[in-house]
Amino acid sequence: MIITSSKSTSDNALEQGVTPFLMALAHITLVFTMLTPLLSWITILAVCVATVRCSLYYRKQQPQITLRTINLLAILAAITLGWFSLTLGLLLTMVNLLVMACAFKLLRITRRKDLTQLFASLLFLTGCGFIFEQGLLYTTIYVFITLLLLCSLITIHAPHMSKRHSLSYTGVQLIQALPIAILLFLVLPKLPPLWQMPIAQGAKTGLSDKVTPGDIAELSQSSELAFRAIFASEMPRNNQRYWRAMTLEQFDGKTWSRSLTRRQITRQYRQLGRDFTPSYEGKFWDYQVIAEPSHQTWLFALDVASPTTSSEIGVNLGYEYQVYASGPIVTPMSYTVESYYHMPLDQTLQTVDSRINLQLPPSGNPKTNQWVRDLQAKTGSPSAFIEAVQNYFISEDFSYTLRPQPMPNNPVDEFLFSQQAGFCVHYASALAYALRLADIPARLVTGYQGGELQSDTVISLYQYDAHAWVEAWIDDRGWMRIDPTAWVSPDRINFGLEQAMREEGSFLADSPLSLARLKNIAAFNQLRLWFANLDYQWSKWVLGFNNQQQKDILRQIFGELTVAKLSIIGLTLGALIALLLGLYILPMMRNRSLNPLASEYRKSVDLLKNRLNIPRATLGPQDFMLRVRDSADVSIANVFEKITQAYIETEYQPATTPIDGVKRLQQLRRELGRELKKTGD
Amino acid sequence: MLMTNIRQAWRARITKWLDQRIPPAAKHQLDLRSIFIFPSRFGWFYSLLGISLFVLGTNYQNNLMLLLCFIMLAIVLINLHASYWNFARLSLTLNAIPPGYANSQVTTTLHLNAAENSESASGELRISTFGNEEHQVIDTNLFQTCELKLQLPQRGIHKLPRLTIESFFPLGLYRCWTHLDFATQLIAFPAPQPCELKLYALQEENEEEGALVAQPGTEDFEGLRRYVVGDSLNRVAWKHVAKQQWLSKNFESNASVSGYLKLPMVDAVNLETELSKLAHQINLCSQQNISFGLELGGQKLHPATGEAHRVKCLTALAAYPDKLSTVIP
Repeated sequence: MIITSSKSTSDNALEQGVTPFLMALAHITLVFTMLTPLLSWITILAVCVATVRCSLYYRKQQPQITLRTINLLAILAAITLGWFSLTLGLLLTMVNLLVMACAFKLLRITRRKDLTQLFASLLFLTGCGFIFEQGLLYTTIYVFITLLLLCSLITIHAPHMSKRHSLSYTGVQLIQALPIAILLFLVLPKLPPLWQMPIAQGAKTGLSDKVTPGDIAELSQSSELAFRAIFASEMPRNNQRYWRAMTLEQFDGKTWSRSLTRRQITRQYRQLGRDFTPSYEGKFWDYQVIAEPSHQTWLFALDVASPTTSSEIGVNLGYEYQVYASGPIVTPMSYTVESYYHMPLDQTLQTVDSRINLQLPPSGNPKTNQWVRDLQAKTGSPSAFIEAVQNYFISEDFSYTLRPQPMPNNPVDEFLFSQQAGFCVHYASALAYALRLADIPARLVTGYQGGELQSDTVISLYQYDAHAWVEAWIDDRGWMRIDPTAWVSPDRINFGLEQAMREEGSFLADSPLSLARLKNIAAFNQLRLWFANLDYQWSKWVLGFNNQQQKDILRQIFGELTVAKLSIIGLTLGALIALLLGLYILPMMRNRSLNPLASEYRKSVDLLKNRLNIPRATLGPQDFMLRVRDSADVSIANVFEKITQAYIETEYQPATTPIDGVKRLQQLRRELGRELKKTGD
Repeated sequence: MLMTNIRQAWRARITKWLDQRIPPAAKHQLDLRSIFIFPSRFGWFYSLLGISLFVLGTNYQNNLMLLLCFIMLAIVLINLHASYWNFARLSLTLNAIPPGYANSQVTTTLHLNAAENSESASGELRISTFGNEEHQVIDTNLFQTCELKLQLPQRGIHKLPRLTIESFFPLGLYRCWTHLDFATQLIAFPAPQPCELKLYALQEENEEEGALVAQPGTEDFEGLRRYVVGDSLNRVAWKHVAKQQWLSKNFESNASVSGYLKLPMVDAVNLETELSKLAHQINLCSQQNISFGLELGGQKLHPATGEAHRVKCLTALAAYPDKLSTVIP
């Protein structure tokens, strides 16, 4: 005997249903959040697919494209993507592939399985989206996408539930899930990376490990955040805030880059396990840095930095006094530093540093060579030489501009003697080269300078705060910072780039919509600061939440963490989650009334079973009554017959109200109990 | 062979266990005893997805990815309850199943919210008989009752097998199901097989063999016609034979004729055919408004007319060789 299958939902119902439409909506939204990592033709493909889905849903059209065409197209697209993958790198290829596969899947949906597969791929893509964007705005969008996806899942299993109802249903579930997720997030241990993952290449940043001043026609600026510093101690003044990121010690006449010799030495030291551990003394600034993802390893700190974050996070100090991470920073990273600002930078081997930093390009820039020789003849000591150069910069009417002329040949000559206009890198490059020519060890340092006060303790540094300056080893005083930009444009150092560029009007000229340009309007500035603060809290508490902070929080609540306490914490977590779930179920339970009649009847049956050992097994009420009559005393059987009759009457004749029936059954059950007791005695 | 044996033994065991766990009843309010719940295939797939997100989030040290993963985990927990409590809102009763001919289709109604709870269950339900793949889908957001199409088996009176009802609402992460026995019978009449009507005369209990009173068109004397070889000897007008005239009596149909339909003595192989023929004759008599009785082995149904009598007779055929009284209370 079988149930005849009702006509299964036709293909068209699935194609024109709301589920694929919601999924297409989630897909296209995802694509728009990932415009940078995605190839443009894949974006166009996604837009086309979304249009097709809309027309299928709203106009109830028949799907026009055959499965064969789609498969053919998909193969072509995969080949194209394979060709692009050579330049894209593994991560971006994978993301592009997933987006593309989802697009083709969305074109034709024939089975329910297609929908669940799509759901899984899209949810995974949503997770991948967090690799690229982690801001508050994007997070909100991703939460919205998750909601859409869950909602589309509901529509698979309840296609006729109203759209609003299913949306609110999933919304409630998502809100209910949030506290549990946060609890898990706070308590579950943060594991270190299990293996190295491919990272996105070509992430834009204000800094790079190669600087070619002559090639830059216009410094591209970005108002993107680079990092934040939160001071626990007093804060340094603007002109003290030189955040070191990288030291460039190799010059080939045009380009400054990291020294090969230095790299070799560093590698050797690391193999020997000899970290750079200068002895610290004097006053220091104590602060925490939250670095935005740069996809590079360098970090930011003031001199002389002493990273205080435990080494398991992987913050190290290099022999160039720079702080660096052990792996690329792909998510906001938080670390703490103490900066001993009175200390000289003289604890490295002078011989090594001098040898590296007296390196000169074999040829080029003849005018500069001649000029330095002349100047050297006039001055005796290194400090006198530096003063002479400073005098030259000031007297020769050099100007600071963000739009210098390109200087392709002999850039230093051209800058010093014909253009005489440029920005920090030009000045720093020229000075460092001149110092090397004069036999004074010198190098280029890049990093950030200044920063915006966000509150009394927080400084934000943006990409446009990127800066370059010079360090020279003078006598035995160690590395001294010399900033030639400050000679020419003191405003740049004292008040920041925006102030310095007011006349030229080139501050953030290529991003006219940036909120940072609207600083002059009070309301906008307030709004901008408010957003920045919100973003800061987000970075600090969510994105930068790490092992250290987790331990601190747990310590604050539970005291010192022992094994016993950790197990208590685990149990508490379980109990809390169970409690939350209980709270969520409560309203569902209230809505439901049991069948009181049947449960009342069952109680009487259980009574007989327990006292007289008469099992009901599979018997219906009538048959069971007959069995009772066979095996029990007459008085008991009589009462039970009444119970059975009352039960059948009320159960099968809806005319009588069940409440009366229940009352009567209760009464009879008590009577049965009494009878049983009597016979038992 | 062994496999099928094991499978059958297993099936029997399960059925026995189910009979104890969810006893037969006319009405089922689903509860902890009767609901089974387990992650569906998609549920496992979803968990796998969560794990891969966790690995991805850990490898990228990405807190938001981890949060997304934990939200997914929390949704799994919440849905365990959501799907259970949604399913537990069902309160099912089944209308009586109308009898039908063997291998034909009958329709009955399943009520999904018999207790008239304040809120009814949501989502699609899949209804099938225990152990069968073929199912019917009903959307509880549209209907509170379900027209159940049942394919009747071979002739006989059968117990309605357990109905398996499953739901994947809300997200399809869990499969909630139950196997319910509604304590009803399926009555499958023998499928009618065209044949001649053979009605035997009313007779006394002790008489061995009743006379055949009716064959097609042999009810009321109408006149004489020429004898054709093959005409029944009962109809031959013997008076005329004496006069060397072979004539047959011609009769006209008449409702007033009444008699018994009888199951001839047959072996097991032909039994079904004979019962099918009887079913056809019962229908024929009913159509022509002939009062008829039925003699089946030891039991006897007295002649009567009307639809109720027809159904009763057909039911007796369905029940054969059991007696009608033992199967219909």
